[in-house]
Amino acid sequence: MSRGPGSGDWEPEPRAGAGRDAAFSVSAGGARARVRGDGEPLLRVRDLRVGFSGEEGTAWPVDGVSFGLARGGALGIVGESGSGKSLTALSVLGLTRTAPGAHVSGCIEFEGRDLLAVPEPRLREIRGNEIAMVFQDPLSSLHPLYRIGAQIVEAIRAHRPLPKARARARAIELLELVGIPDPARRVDAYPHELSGGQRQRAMIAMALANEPKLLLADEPTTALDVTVQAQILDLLVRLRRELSMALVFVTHDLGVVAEVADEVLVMQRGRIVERASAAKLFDSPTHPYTRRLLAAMPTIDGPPPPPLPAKDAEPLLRVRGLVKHFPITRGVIVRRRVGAVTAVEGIDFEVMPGETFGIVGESGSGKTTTARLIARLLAPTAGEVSFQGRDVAALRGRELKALRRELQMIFQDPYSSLNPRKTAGSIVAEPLAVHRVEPDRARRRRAAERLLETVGLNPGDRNRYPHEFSGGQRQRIGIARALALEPKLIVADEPVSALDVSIQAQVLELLRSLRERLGLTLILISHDLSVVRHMCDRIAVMHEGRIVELAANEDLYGAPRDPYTRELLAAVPGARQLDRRTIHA
Amino acid sequence: MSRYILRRVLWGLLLLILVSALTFVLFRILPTADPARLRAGRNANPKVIAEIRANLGLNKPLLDQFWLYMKGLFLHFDLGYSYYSGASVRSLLFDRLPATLSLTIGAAILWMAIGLPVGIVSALRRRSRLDRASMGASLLLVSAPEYWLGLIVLYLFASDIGQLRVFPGAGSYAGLTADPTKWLTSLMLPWMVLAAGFAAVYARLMRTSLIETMGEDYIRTARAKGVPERQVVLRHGVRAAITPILTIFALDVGVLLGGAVLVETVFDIPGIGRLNYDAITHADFPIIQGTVLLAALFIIVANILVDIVYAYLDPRVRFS
Repeated sequence: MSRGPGSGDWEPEPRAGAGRDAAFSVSAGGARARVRGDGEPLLRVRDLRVGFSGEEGTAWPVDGVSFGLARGGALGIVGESGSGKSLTALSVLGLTRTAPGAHVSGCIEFEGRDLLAVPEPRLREIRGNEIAMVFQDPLSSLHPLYRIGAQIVEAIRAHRPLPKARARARAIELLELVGIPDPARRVDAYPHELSGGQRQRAMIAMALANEPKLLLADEPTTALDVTVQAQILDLLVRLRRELSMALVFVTHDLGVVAEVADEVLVMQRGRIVERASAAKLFDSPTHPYTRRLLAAMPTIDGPPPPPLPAKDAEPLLRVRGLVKHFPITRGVIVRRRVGAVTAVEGIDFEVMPGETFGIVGESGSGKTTTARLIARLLAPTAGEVSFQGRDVAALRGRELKALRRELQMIFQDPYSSLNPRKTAGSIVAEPLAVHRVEPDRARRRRAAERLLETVGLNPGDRNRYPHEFSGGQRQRIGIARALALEPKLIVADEPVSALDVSIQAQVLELLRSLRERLGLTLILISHDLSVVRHMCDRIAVMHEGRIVELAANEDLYGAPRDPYTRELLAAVPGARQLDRRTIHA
Repeated sequence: MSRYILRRVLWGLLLLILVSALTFVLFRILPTADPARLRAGRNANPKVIAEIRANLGLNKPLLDQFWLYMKGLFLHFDLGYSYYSGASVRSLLFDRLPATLSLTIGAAILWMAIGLPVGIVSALRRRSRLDRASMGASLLLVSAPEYWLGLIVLYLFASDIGQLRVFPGAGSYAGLTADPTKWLTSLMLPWMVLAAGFAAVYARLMRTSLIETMGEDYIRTARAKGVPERQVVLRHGVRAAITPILTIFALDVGVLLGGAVLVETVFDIPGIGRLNYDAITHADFPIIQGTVLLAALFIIVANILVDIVYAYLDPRVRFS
């Protein structure tokens, strides 16, 4: 990874006039004179409860949480969505207590002071100064209208009366520390001009601006690609050591927490259900929920799906030399084409009937564009997609409608891909009406009930609306809708990446069983190597619009040939711990 | 950036040419609007009409007429002469422009100065009594027609007919250079009436926009950095929330510069709107055409300014 010149040569500024600037004196290598091991923990949380009053009474998403953290320690908080893990972290920073309708009780002791009792102005002095926080999505968490340098300078000057020029110099140092190349120039970049990983580095630089004693990181790598995630995790581990700073790392990903934390709290429905050292948690989890989480976690070394019975059939789908460019136009009045962004650059593959074909890659690799080209939601620039021997791009009108009937998609986000004003039953039955498969309303209704049952939902729930279902249930509705027309091929674009691990496992299991029961042919697109491992017979690895490696499941994970595939596999978080777990098991 | 501006300006120019061509069709070609007949007035006889037709060049082929019309318009800003008074439309417009400018700019400053702070406070104290009161008042002002509000205000505060004789009433407008004090006092009531509705709309816009912005992740980041709340609101919240409002503002001002017909008429201010109103009652087509073109010009210019200012305010649109 590109670590930049950060670590070793980051020297304290010359102490011009000493005074307040002395607060920045840091020596490289983590030898900062901070009292350690004096028995007093840095942070002690006791019986923390956070509740919100609504029309239906008060809900307590954090319900009696207690833990402690030593100076320089690293604590992971793991849980699924709604477990209260993020609210716990936000409460430590005092960001929940001013929210409308919020009730916060208990005790959050930081260096002996109860932060819940501290008045707001004093708390403001602690925020960003002694306790800092890094958030999940760096694009939305950085102000879009200010340069990143200005945002870091603001963080510094909120706590130290430094002149602007010196604060700016310090911002450049910080950017260098977090490994942003050419920091003197990048300091003047706007957030949208940086890559996702660089944005998160800038966000971390901002959090470190005043050398906090405690860094709270709330899912800091969830929005990032797996190789970038590995870099950011390395960076956090390194900075924690160098700055001897305590770290609270909140995540849904057990693999990630294994990489960064010494100790792990597992949260479920606002309570801590297990607390253990990272190693022990993976080796011998005690609480059933933890065991379930670990079991649900798809791993890259789990068993591949059972091999297909060999059939020498014609391929269902054949992709030849497929290219997609998105034009870039320029011109004062008449716009002319000056170039193109290449999304897909000449790919070839075939999908056999009954096969589950995986396409894996990072963001920008062209995998979603490929899915859209196959489903004819986009027209290719060149090349051919032939489905059952017919060129998909040439289809018009009635023929195209016939294709839509035989080729269905499952989308990533079950929240935005279902019409909120339609009931589950009518969403599932709609394809039957559109394609005039089942003109009779009552029979359509029964068909919808059967489909809901097939995907493991209660048929009686057909009159409920999408918002009344959980994320996993909604994705099941999406799957039922895709199954309605009994398509020959289903293209699933990141079908589980918006779901919690235990739900993810259930949905994958559903797809796997449907595949066996109905003989489905599936193209599964994912950024997650473990999901693809769990599901697919053959896998194509995409990188910058090309397929860099296409191999059978066993071969790809057993003996990856392409260096990029190897890099991807190495970047999967928690690979080491999980290896050990499978040995123990 | 300069290419971006150039492109916007050229598009604007093209649009202006199209609007001019459209007014030519409306006022010269459509059968209801034979200029010679209209110019001749009530006692028209064929001979007079033919004479006028020759004078105005209406006997030439249509394309020649169009060419002369466009040439006169773009090279000399020649908009013809009023049927009613015979005065040059160009000089009429220039004479009336200062009053409309005074009215619009003054009202714009007033409505921004009132609407934005009210909106900000309402957004920050959502569902408080203050919020409910100001949003209720704004609903009332949005719903009140300008001519009605104008008459009410005259009845209450005009120095001639009012109950409390505070400000000069209708027809008291004086130019800024001629009599600054009178200019200021005579415009007080029109400013208030014109600004009232807009202030109400802008308060609501600001409130909605700021409520949305204050829920953004970067606001949470600013608080997590320990930035004082006042700065969080102003530098992070308002700065981001105000961008869409400024674009609407520029367009509103552009529209008003084309003539605030109702307010100018109620208060008898000799501006473009009043000129337009009178021209309509007299079927004075050259003036109507002139005011239409002037309004189009202001709106197009405002649009170009919006695009440029937006690119300056929001770095994300600069290069797209």
